[in-house]
Amino acid sequence: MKKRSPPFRRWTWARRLTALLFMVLLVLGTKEWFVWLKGSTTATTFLEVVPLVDPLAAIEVMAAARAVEWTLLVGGGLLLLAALLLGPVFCGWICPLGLLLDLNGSLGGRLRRIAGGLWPKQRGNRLPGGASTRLLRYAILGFVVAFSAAASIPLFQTISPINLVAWSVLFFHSPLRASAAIAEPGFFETCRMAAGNVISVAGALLLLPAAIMAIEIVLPRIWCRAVCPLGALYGLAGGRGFFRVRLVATTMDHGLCSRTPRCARSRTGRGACAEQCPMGIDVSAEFTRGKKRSLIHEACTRCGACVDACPRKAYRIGFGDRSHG
Amino acid sequence: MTPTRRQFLLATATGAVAGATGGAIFRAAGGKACRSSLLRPPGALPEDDFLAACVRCGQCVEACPFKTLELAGADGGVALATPYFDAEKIPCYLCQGYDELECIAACPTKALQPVDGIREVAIGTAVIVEEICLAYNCVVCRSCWHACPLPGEAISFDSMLRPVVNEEACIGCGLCTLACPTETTSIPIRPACDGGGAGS
Repeated sequence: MKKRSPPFRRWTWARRLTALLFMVLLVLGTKEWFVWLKGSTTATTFLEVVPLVDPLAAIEVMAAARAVEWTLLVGGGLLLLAALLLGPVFCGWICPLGLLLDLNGSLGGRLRRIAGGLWPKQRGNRLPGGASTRLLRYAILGFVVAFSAAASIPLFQTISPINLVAWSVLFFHSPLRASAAIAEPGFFETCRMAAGNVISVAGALLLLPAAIMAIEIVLPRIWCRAVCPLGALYGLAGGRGFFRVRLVATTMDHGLCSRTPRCARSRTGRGACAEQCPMGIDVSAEFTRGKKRSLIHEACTRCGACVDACPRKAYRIGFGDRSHG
Repeated sequence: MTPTRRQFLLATATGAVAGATGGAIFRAAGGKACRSSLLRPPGALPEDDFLAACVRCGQCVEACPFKTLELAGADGGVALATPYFDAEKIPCYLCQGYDELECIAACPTKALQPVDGIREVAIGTAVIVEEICLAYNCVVCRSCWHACPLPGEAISFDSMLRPVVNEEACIGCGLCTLACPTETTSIPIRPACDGGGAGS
């Protein structure tokens, strides 16, 4: 029997590319001559004028400093507005930690196939505790904001593994940011600094992201689903955003969903879409239960994993209900 | 079972109560006035206000034309990823030859406040270590005075031609620290939050 190669996962690669592009822009931004995007994940300046600020960072800093600042209001407001209109797209499309965890999950799946029983098993695509674990990240959101205000330290911005990933690439002993002591680092010098960076990074700062990656070998995407307060804030703002997973007309009506052998064979029996969803949403059930034509869900990051996974091409992602697929 | 809106609100509120308690305890436990003591960029708020107002984005670091500023690493503790500089490596050149202090212009928050000329800057104060300073050990040396952006004001000479720091005028840029010819510098900068300078 000829083995068919799996279909090209269009949305998966599109979102990985945008997340990578964001980091590339930030890295270029450390150079004097590149003015498109300056800063890191907490706050950036776009084209030297427009502030784009992580809304949680804006809230935390204003709470900690007990002062209203227009740059933070505008910068955070712009991104919240974007989330309100589109959805929590930061999580699915921009977040550098999300990119790492996404790749980590893929790698884990691959290793599991190679190593078989030697590699730890994931119990399906659900976290123990089911949907109620989603409440945890909202509790953490409340915690970090209140803590910031009470302790006068923007708590999450100081320890956020999202920032740690970005700072490590951009600033901490980064070979990408050669110090003035070495005017033009040659190839050897760059390699030496990169090696030093890996050692110092392994020593301390990437421990948190690394720990999350290790935990997620067993508990799928626990950071995004149950911990990340930024994701919670974006989820609050963007649950109804219009850039949604939508049903391609008539697919469900004709009873095509969940009838394919691939879906029936899926470990969870809930279909390929639910199995692939990084946020653990039971995608097909959301549609069949609610008789909805688009997915409105606070946890949906619009990543398109379900669109790529569906063997019947029952979903698309975009704006507005169109009758053609 | 999808959680209801009420449950989401309850979770957030519970977290907020725990956070407020935790934050208050954290603040009480670390009660001393200076929670970290680093050489900050010019225009920085007093240390504790700075820790609250800095968004840790690194735009000042990127803007610094002399690559003076760095983000504090894991050893910075609560100051993790806030900007600082090491005067013995690269001091603050106060953007000589530029129209403005670039770090202050780049800061998206009020953590770095605009200053009215370099005399307003209060990074810290230079302190002469008389045991190793050449001029205090019978050698003619004026390196610090030559490097000082405010010669005669911040550093002057006593009757024995030894340098003396005027704590009122010294802004703590660290140019003297780097210029000092002794192996370990004889004129380090005491950060503003260590009791030196007007900013403490």
